[in-house]
Amino acid sequence: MERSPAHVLEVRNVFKSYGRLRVLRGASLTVDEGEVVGVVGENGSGKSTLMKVLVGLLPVDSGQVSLKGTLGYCPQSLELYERLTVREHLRYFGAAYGLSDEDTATAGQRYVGLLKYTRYMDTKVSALSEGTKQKLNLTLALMHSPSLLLLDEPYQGFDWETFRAFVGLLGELRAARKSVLLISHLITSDIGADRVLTLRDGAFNE
Amino acid sequence: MNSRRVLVSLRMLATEYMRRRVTLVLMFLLPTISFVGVYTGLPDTQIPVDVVENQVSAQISTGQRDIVGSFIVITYAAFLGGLSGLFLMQTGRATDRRLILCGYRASEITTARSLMLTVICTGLSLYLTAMLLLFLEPRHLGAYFLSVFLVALIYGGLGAITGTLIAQELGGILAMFFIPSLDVGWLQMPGYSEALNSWWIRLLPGYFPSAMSVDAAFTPTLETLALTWPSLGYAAALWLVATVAFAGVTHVHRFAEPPRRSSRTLAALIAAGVVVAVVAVVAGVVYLGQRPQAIEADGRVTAPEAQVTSLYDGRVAELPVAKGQHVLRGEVVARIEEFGTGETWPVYAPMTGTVTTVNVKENENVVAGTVLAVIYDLERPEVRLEVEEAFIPQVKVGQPVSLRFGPLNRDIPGRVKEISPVPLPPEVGVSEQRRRIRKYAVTVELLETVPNISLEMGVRGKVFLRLIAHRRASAPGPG
Repeated sequence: MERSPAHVLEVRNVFKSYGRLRVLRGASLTVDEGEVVGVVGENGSGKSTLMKVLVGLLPVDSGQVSLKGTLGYCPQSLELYERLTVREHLRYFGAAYGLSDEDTATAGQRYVGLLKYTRYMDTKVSALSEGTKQKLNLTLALMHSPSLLLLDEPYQGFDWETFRAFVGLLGELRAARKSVLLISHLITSDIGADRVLTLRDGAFNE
Repeated sequence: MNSRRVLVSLRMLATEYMRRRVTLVLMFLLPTISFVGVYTGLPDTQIPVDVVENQVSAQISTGQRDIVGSFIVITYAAFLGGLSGLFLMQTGRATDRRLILCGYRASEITTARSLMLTVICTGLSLYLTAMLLLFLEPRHLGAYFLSVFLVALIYGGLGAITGTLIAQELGGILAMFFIPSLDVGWLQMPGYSEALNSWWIRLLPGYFPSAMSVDAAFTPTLETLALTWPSLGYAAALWLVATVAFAGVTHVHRFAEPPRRSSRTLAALIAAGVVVAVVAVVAGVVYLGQRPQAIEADGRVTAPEAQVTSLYDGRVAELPVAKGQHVLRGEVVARIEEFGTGETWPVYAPMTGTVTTVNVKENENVVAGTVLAVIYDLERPEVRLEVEEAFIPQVKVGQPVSLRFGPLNRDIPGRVKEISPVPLPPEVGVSEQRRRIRKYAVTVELLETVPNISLEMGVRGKVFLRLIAHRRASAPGPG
């Protein structure tokens, strides 16, 4: 595969095993600028392992991963501090991304408004519903306007209205030439993905 | 390291901590319950406790409640410091890793947490020391507080390592309950632990602060303040290991990063942590071993004193001396006209010196035994040290003494001249606990002339019980 300058993410022939269990067996994929790519697969097909490798939580056994620009990651599990409020999370992650206080506030207001949970700004995470926690989870991945957004099962717990808002958000990101890689066990045509890849036995059959 | 990120992290930690209401209440309630238990449930009997003062072993008698109470303070400091370290690292482990993915460095997070732990340990130590003060007054309050703070800080570091490596909350809590209870709550407690005589006891995290706390709470001289440094070294080494462990657990495999370099950095940091810990422990042990064998005591300047008394009932016929006058031995101080016989008898000065007090006037009537005047030999000033009973058996006439006079900034040599066989009257205006400590007067002669000293001037003396030269001299020879 010839490397194109338009690829934001390029995964080449990645192998990953846990002991004798081989999970990824030569997985390759590319995501271009402004593209929304979906990855589906059955349970145990290696979706979560692929995501962890892409984010850097797991080292690869062999193969190459290259990324252009910044990365935003929304994990499948709700990785949040139970005793902090939504606003405090935004401030904490804003500092992690190196955003100024004003930029943090602007980005926070924008995404919190877009996902319709502004009234929970000063509520502790432990008191939020699962769906609202997932909205915060997603906001934390988006707030620094990354070049590539990696989403692991991002719309679990969303009601229909929030799901529609999420789809609208994907459209906005695409329009802003941002790239999205979305991993889920279910990707319907409502999502409007440019491509949907199927991961089977640790490799893609495009 | 980015200071803004450290400060934001510190602020979030403080916010999270203040919202742990149940934990906070338990942290304050549990020691209170234990204190009430000790002071209502334990008999108020005196028990012997072995203490070491400048390598001089002595057995002091102290209340059972007091020694147990003071150890409850440092055990709780260790336990609660450990739990705080544990919770700081264990809560939100997955989210910590996410923060690192988003740009935080592991060292920024652990720096914020070590600062937070320092704040928590300070608050804890203030609270625990204040609680102890309701029942027992440590002899050196500041040093006692410092020892409580240090044990909390060391165990906080240990808790941080445990919290980083053990994900299971219950496992971590059990470890942080068991280790301080065993180390500080039992093995380090004089009067209850035989292990204090073993070498390995010095390697345990609680050793240096515990030794300091006993010294500060119960002994007259504070000489373990320097143990602050090995204690801080111990705490720093544990935090370094916690940081390395945290960096290892939350490591992110950046795509272009060769993995070898980071593992070499990790190995170097671990080695540095181990070296700091070993140096700290060795320095502490060497320090303890090199202290001179001596006891310290406070005292006052005095001088050989003689009282001039009348041997007869009679009238003071003549009084040729006045206060402040220098008299020679054998010089007439007064003449007494005896009642009945009408004979006049001279009263002579029993020694050469200065008349400091004159109690009678001419023509005054006196009875036999009346102290007419007091003479001090101000040419030969002495020092009277007040030595606590526990150390008296080891003080002998002839032992060298180093004296420091209030206004003089140098040490003057002296020698033990006399040890009083009866204790001094108990101090007034002090706590019951202080009043129970009996003291004996030890008179020390000065071996050098000291300029500008006056009677009653304050002195701090150090009595050397055994010097290296003496040790050699007393070694058993052949045959």
